[in-house]
Amino acid sequence: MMLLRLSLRQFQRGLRSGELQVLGLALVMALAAVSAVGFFTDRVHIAVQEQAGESLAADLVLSSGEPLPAGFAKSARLAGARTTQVMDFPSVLFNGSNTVLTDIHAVSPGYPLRGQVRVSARPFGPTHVIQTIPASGTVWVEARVLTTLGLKVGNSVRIGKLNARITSVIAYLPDGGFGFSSLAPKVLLNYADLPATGLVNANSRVRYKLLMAGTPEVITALKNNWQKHLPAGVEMQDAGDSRRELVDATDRAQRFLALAALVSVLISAVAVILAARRYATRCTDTAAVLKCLGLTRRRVQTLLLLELLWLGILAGIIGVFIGLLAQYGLVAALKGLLPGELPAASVIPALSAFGIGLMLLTGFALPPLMRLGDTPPARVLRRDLLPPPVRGYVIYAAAILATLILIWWQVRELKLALYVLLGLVITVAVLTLGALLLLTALRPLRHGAGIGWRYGLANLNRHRRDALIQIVAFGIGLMVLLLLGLVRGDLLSSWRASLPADAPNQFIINIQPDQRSTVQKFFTSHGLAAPTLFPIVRARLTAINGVDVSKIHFTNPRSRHMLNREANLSWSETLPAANTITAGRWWNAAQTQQPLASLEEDFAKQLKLKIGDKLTFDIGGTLTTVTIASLRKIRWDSFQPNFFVELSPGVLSAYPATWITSVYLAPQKAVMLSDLVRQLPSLTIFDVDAILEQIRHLMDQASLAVEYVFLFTLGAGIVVLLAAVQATRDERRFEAAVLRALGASRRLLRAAAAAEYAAMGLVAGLLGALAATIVAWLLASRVFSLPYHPDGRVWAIGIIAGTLIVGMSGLLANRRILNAPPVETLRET
Amino acid sequence: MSKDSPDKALLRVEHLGKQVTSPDGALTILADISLAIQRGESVAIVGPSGSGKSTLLGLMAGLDVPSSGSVWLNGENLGALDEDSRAARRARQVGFVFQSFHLLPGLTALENVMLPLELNGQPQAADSAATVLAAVGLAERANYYPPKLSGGEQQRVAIARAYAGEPEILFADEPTGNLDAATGHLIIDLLFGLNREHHATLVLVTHDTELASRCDRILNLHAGRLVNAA
Ligand SMILES: Nc1ncnc2c1ncn2[C@@H]1O[C@H](COP(=O)(O)OP(=O)(O)O)[C@@H](O)[C@H]1O
Ligand SMILES: [Mg+2]
Repeated sequence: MMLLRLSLRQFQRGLRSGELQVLGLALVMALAAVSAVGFFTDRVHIAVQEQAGESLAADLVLSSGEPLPAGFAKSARLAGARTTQVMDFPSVLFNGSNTVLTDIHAVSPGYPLRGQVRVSARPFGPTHVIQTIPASGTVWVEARVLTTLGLKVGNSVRIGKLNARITSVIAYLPDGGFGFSSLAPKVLLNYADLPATGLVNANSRVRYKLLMAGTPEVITALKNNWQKHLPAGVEMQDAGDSRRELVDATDRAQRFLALAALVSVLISAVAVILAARRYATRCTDTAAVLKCLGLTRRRVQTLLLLELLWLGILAGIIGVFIGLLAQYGLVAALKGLLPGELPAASVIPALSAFGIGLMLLTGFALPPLMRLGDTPPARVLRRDLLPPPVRGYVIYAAAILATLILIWWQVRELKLALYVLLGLVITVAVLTLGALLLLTALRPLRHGAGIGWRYGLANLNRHRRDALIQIVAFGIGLMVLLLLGLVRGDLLSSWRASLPADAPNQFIINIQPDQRSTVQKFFTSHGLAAPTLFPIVRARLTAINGVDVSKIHFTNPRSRHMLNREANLSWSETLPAANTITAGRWWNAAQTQQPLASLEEDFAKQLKLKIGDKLTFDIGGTLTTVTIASLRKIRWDSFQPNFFVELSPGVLSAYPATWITSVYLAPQKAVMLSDLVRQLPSLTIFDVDAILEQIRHLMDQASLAVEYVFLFTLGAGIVVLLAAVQATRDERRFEAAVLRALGASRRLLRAAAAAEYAAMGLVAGLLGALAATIVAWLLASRVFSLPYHPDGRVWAIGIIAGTLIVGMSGLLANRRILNAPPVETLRET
Repeated sequence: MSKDSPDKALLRVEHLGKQVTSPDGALTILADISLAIQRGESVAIVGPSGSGKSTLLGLMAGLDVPSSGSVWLNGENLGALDEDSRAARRARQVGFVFQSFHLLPGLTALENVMLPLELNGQPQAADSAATVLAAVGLAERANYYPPKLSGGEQQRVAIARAYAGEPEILFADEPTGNLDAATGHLIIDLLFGLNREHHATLVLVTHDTELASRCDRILNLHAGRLVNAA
């Protein structure tokens, strides 16, 4: 009781001292970062949980690339389920020269069976639930369609041969996809209008879906009934599957943001260590007096523990509150990728943030403070008596353990946690080494300029360990921000630049056999070369070496996917341009009628296929067996139509095929494609640049969110700086006083401090830029196989930002010290 | 004298020695000190700087443990107690006044005086503390924090704190050392006055012979040894 009161009094008063303030600030910074991410991801999580149940717009969905046998719908209805039909396919919409690739969602009455559609009268306007589907001849579109095409509600848009009026803006579709999966905006179309579009035929990229909803018993019965003998190519998905997928996807995003917040937490931990050590030193006298007055070791420790607890609670409340506000920034950064309105967050992120605060205090602040319990009471007589030093291993063990727990807490995965730790250790080691070298290199420079500069640099080298800590803290923050802010864009540009300028940028697919000459003539009539058309025949792999694929099981999900999905087969007499044979031999003129196949080498590897293996394909109901004659390597970035499986021409020529081509059109010429589509409405056109632009936009948004979280890292760096200034405050004050007593002006002292911190910031910026460049180079050369062109801006911005941020913070942190009247300081000591 | 004989003395020191290991080998600070202090007595320990006065005081008060010999307070051998038990004895029986005041800077004057009372679990700590604070003439300064008080005022708070817990024995280590002569006199008057009022025993370390002469008895320490035990 008495300790409680005493601790509160001491804490209240202690809050005015710099040590507790810095300690508190470090906690606030760490907790603000984690709770901002925590609250944000919690809200998304709740939204996902709430919406995952309806993310199919049904309880059970059957889907296939081919029309579903009518028997399914009939037996579902007989069993007591409600059903409705949906058809999905991509289509490019035009308005003048503007194009947008959309996902057409053709729905029948009854849609959605689960969840509700929300629409608004204008983009981003107030939304309301709507119970019907678009009337025939009208469509509802996502806002992005309107903004990209420059259209308004009420305008008409062509979908294939159909001229449809836009009557509403889609704000939310239960099965509209979530976050990063929805690359193309949705267009909701009445199923009955499908024939009028002329876009659907045997070979278009259509998903046929049967949506079903009913009581759990009905759904389970249907599922069990069909599970065993689903026709090949038909997929069955229930709400549980889809929730798992969604939850997995958000979990990944959550872990990533949590990792970003973790960096701030760990940098704050450094500030906590510095501030706590300093605070402990300051508390030694108090501890000695209390012991002298008869407080036991236990009670002294309890007292300090309580004070720390109060600090933790206060800083926790402030940090969590800031986090609560800051998460709106994340919501804003990811606007458009998130479902319309996010639900409110739960308290769990706040509790979790408090847990992290407790961990920070226990792991990094407690060891030096608990030692004060052993302060010899005789210190009241002899000031030089100190508590026994904490054993080094206790401090390190506590800190390392706390670090591991914190990492694990944030990523919840041991392997990832260890990788993160390893990455962190390497980064810190490299930055420390670099900082050491640069500090040494700076030393001779101090004879160059004025006295302020000389004195500042001398200070930097005297407090070398502190300087290293601060440089590493800032260096990490600058590195991640540079990496995200600049290098990411560079990588994308590098990749774009690595492509030939005339690499095809428009894909035209779904060309019917009788349209081939029209397409080619269209280009020649515009003075362009007739493009090469490649045939596509849709087929399914049914057996490998006579073994039915349903009996072949791959553990690798990628292999499983390749095995099950529909294959696009093509044929060619000669080896296509961007291909090179890596094994076997391409068929010669005499072999073109033999049943031979050539496989892309990675495709073959995934399915464990080799030359001589026999593949059986189901092509429109007929089985055909071919022998693998060669393996190929494909340069995908040629942007030519390329195929995993090429067959010899004789095998496929009897089957119905559609044709595909790619062309390069200068941006101002792309408009002419709308004429082509008007002529042949069933064509689908992919504008590569527009798709890249969409990807770039997504990446921009995602990395803006991550950058935002990393801003806290810089904040944590500033707290480390404050803690370091605090740790050397007495010394700095004394020196400043002596210098001033000797006649140095305040300006000179400020110049010295400016030099010290600017030099530190310069080193941090230089190292941050260096580290960002190294990581970018590793990414470019090792992961993406791209030539990396170092970007001068990374260095310029790194150095300028580092010098300014650290220089200003240092000056501000030292202001009180430098301005203290020297007499006061000298009298005190 | 035998260790188990009933002992009238409040404090008894027997063959006390203190050695420390310093960078230049073992250093003897105190050697073979024996003395007894009776209840209600005031004793001055005088001697030149570095003669071991503070060390002796610390050992007698149980702040430190001797290298040899023993200290008996109220018939209990302090050396046989662990630090926490010694702390408990200090809380109940011992008061301190130091040269450098040693007030807790985070607590007000009143709260500093309340501290020993609260440590002993006394219920009316604030009232009793206010009374003692008034007795040293600082009633109006009750809510000041130590850094805002003058040296003399701080020492008066320290004296109030020392007596608030009604100790049986009070140890003062050069209580006027940091004060000017006039203030020093005031402090000493206060110390002796309160000591009489509270019927406490006073052990005073000083190198001020005039101050020492106001005590019942003077112990002369020289290079770690008692020179006369008058
Ligand atoms: N723990 C210690 N370690 C080293 N030397 C000590 C220690 N305690 C006391 N001394 C030395 O013993 C001598 C006596 O100290 P002290 O008792 O403080 O003297 P006084 O109070 O009479 O001035 C001094 O020289 C002091 O430096
Ligand atoms: Mg002394």
